Amino acid sequence: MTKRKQSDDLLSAYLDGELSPEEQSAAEQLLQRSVQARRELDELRAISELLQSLPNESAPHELAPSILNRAERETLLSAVEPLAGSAPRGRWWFTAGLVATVAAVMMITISLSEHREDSPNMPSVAESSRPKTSKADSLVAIDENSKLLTGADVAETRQQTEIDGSRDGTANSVSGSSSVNAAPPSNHKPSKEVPSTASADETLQPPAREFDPLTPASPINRADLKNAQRGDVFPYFDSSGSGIMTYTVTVVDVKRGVDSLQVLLQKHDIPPQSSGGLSDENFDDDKQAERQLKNPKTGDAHQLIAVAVYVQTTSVQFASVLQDLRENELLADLRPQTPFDVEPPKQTISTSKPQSKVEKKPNETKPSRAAERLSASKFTSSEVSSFHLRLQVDSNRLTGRHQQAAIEEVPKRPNDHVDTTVRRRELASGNQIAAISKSATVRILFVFQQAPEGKKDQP
Amino acid sequence: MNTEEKELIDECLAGQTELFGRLVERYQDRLYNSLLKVLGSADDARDVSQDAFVHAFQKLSTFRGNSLFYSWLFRIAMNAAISKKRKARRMSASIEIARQQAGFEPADQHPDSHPSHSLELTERQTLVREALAQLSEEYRTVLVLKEIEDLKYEEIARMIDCPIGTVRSRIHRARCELREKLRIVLQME
Repeated sequence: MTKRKQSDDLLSAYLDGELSPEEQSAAEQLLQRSVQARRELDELRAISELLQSLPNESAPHELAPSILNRAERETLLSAVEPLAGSAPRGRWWFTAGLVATVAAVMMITISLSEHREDSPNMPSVAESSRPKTSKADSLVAIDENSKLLTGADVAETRQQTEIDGSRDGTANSVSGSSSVNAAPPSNHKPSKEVPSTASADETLQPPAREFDPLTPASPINRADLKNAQRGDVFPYFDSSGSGIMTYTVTVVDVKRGVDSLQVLLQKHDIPPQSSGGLSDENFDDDKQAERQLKNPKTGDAHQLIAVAVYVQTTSVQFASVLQDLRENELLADLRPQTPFDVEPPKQTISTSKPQSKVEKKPNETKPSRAAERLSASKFTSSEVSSFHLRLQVDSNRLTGRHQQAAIEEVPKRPNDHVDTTVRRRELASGNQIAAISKSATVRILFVFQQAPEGKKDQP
Repeated sequence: MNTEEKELIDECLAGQTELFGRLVERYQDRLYNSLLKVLGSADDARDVSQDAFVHAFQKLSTFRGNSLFYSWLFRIAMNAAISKKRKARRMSASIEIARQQAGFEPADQHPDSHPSHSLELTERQTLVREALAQLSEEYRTVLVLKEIEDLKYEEIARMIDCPIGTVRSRIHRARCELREKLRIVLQME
């Protein structure tokens, strides 16, 4: 059987000139003695010729301008984080060149007129200093504003930009006379000196972007958008690297939901972690924590409604898990949240941390205990590790705030090397996750959340 | 990567972004043509081409030059195409329905593919496209890379991140499957 298979492959590879000298000799001998082999080779050749006879199709004429148009617009919406040695001025000229390329007034626009009217006296982003482009400051900015765009807000923004001309190659209109030119992705100079991770970047390309109005809120800071100036670059989106994708899983029964996830992970060959993974024992730890969370004032227990589960798997496996999870009868809601970037820990971590107050004050920089432990962890990219982080979130603060809660739970490191960036939305969509290379590893934080009472099933 | 291409990319990164437009001009037809045959839909091919180029622009600084720019671009495109997998499945279903209703493949709407061809040739090409569209995506991809892009197995393996042996067997199986589907055409030859 194997010999037969080899023989089959042999003829096809012979046709393509892909045989080793030994195989070439074997193929020629086979063809000499076997009429059937010769007939098969003829048929394979005929198939090959049929395919090659298909006419070449030219790209639509509007493709090139629409590519350049969209490149500019999306780069505007992408994180272009200043790295050491990358000059903003250089990016500015890069942008200018791109604009020249499309040979038209292609100004990426964000509809800002409404926001301008709301608060015309807001300080400009340019005035608020360049360090705002750092990952840490983007989070601080969120805290300061205590308001994230809702999914609808983002949809509105994206739809507006989409309407402004995404695929027709037409010039974008400028609303409110505020235009922002996109900066190019000059993360580093075209130097021969390449970071060791560059190879992975090249191999494991993140998925191409789609503007999906249904994708959840991205932490766009309204204040920044209100005061966007030409040439400003915002750090809120970043599809590079591998952030932690966060999903809020609302289930009618958290424990059963976690159990279901455990089953799904096993079903999709994502092995249970040796410790800190999904297990009844860990869940019992949560129950223990719950008992410890008695409100000292009222005597009532804070309702533990969130259990976060961190898994590390391949994107393909995860896409399958996600699909199954969506079909789970316990599921009331599943929505991707703001992915964030964090260094995975070197060792498995399992921790429970009571969090009496989710909403932090703007200047509050003290990390949670879990965050401290994560921050303290060292990590090398070659290591694959996982940990289990549980969040206990005050129920009355969770509603409408869970996204922010998730963000705030990430470790905050000193400003000089903060990695708590907020990541681009589309990485958190099931379909698009599958677009990551099969060999890519994604990190996902499932935050389980109790469904509202009305949605509970009666057992 | 040849010197000219490397210079283009380096200068593009140095700020001459109009040179990226030249990269687009250089490769858009090739990429679109292959994607059209892999995805079977002009709309998908256009969208994925656009996605791929835009992403390549955004990630140009991560391109190390160890492979050809086009290989890198095609890999990006393949990743983008995977994200359309479900759509492609739906599309296949709709193709089947449309084919049953109208007797031809709706994706084959590019004007260049129709005029000035003999009826026989057009019919034959339609049958070939139809058969190609019925292959699994992984078979379709390797066949297009081999027959349309004329790439070596090693290059294909790098592009789709598979061992060469897998590429070799996929190409053969894809040809065999196509041979069965096109038996009538082969007998006419």
